[in-house]
Amino acid sequence: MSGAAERQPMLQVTNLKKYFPIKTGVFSRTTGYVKAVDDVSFEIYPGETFALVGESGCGKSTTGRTILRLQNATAGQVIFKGEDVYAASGDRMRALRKDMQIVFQDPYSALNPRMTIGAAIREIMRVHGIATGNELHDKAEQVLETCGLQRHHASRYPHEFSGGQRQRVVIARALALDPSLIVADEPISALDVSIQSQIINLLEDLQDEFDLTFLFISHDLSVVKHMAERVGVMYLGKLVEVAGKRELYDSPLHPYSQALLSAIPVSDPTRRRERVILKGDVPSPANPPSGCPFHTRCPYAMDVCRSVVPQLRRTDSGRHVACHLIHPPEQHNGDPTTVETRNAH
Amino acid sequence: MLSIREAGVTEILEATMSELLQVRNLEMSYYTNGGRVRAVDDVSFDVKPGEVVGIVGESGCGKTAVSLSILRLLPSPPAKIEGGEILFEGQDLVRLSGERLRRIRGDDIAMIFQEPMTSLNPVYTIGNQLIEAIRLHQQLEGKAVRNRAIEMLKLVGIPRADEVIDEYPHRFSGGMRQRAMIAMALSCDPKLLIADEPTTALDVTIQAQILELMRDLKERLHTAIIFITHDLSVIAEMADRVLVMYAGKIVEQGSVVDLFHDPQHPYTQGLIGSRPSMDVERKRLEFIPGSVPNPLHMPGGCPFHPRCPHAMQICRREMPGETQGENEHGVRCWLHLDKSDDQARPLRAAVGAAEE
Repeated sequence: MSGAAERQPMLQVTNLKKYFPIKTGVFSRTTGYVKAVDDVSFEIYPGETFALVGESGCGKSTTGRTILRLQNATAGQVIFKGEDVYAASGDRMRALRKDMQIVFQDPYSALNPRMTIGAAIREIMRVHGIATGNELHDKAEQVLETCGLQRHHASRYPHEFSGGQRQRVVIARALALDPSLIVADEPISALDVSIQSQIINLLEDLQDEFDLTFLFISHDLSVVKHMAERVGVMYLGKLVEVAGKRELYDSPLHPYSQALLSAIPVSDPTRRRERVILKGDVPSPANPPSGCPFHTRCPYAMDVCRSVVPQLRRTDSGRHVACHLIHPPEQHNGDPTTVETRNAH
Repeated sequence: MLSIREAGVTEILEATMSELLQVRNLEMSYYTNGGRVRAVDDVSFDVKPGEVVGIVGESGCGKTAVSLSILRLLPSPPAKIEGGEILFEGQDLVRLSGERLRRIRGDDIAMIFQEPMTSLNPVYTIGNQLIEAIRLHQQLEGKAVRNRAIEMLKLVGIPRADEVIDEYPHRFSGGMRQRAMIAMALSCDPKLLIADEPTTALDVTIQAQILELMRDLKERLHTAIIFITHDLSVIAEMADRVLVMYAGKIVEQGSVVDLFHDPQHPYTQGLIGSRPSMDVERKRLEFIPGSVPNPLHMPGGCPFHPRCPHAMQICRREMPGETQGENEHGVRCWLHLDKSDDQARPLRAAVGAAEE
């Protein structure tokens, strides 16, 4: 782990849960729950980029949204800079949101088509009391410039911009409030390949310049490897592994992390990776398997995996893994064990 | 190149022996309210039997337009094939009658699309749809048709094929639907399979399954594949040869190894450099400035010149022809052609990062 470990976390998420009720029949009775986020805990340190990765439906976006209280969590605690986000009043929440902003995947739907981008940025600055009058105009143009656009762009409408430029506008709008945490939810997935690296570079430049902390949500493991310092791997609403980037990519411990990493296509035609091909599909989150959610596809599944849910536990090297192979269930109440020597591939 | 009328019999025979598909100077435009969009512009390439040809490019570069032109699946208007030839085993598909074309579609050339749900009919069972395809194209009757359908589902790795065959598409997950689509496409033993972004809508672990399946089927059935994707890493894994398209034109083509290890066109170089690599750590990613041009307002000359770090005076005026290197590695770029000093003057001193 980096030196981040000694510092106070900026964001601390503890046992976060978000269940969506499934309603059926004429009377819309709740017949079950989709456990989109199920008991997720992690922390993010100031100035770092923490990435959540996983496949579609694993709950990574819902995690990001419940942290900002864009959706209310079913249970759990979110502490941002020492303050309980879920205990905050409406006014207090607005003040907190100024400090934690979100950038969404699709820059086409994140901007109001009937508002010039200057007006959009000025509105959010006015609401949060950043500036007034002429200063407002100047600040809005300044933040556009910071994000690689030009001052005169402020009077244009979203449709006059390309996808990459729109994503710059969305980033500028988040940056206008001078936040310390930015949740970036798949910020480059909707962009053309040749544009993606422009936005990645911009995010990194901004992080250096304004000392930003990122929660970077992505399904693209190559981009995550480039951006993040620490990575959390999610599967069916649960965090299965949290580790420093290098450790995770060099020697993933959880069988799902191993399969996920080995599934990435290699962009060198002369090299072939040993591949763990998983059987079957991701189970429905409305009806998740008992025990470890991954046991139905896990090449190493044991009897205990079918009945006991493995907890996310710390290994000696400071990584966190939820797997019975790493922490055999008998030794749960003792000290954390290490079975890290197990061959990864 | 040869068309059927001009060429002698021996030449046709020779061509059909070595090449399964020959696309020659294909031109296709869309006529829209905004004006004419040249979606495919002077595109030529070959596909040999059993070979995987990858077409890579960004959205709007014309890669899908090429594949739809081959099968003549484009609605006309607005689309119009305006020139060139598509020779499949020596027959020019551009000039083929509807009846003959229908024989080739499905029988000899099959296609799978990006979003399997939109290619499957939601009100018929998977089995119904597979059986219809088999019955139309193969001389099979009664029970044999259903058996063939089950056999195909087993081939693409669908478990409990004999039960699943009677289920509706909505009961299938994304990966299963794509497997069903592949089963349908391969049910008539096509010689050429066109796969248009077959894994783009899928998750990585499912993508790995489907790519593995396609590789395996290619080995076993010796089907030639045109594999279209925007994902360079997928191309690196799947293709034998690669075409790089930009703004309707092929800007570079060559073997997959040559293309990745020695890219010649500045666009190819930019694409490869701008992807974060899993193996090499880079402090900063390279990038291609600007964005893909609006097809209605294509820049003159080489369409890449407004974004090209090496752009010269001549690039603005004229599209370069193809230079062939070793191993059929072709590139269309003025950097590799003779030009006068005046023509070679740089277009601008330094390229800024501004996206305009």
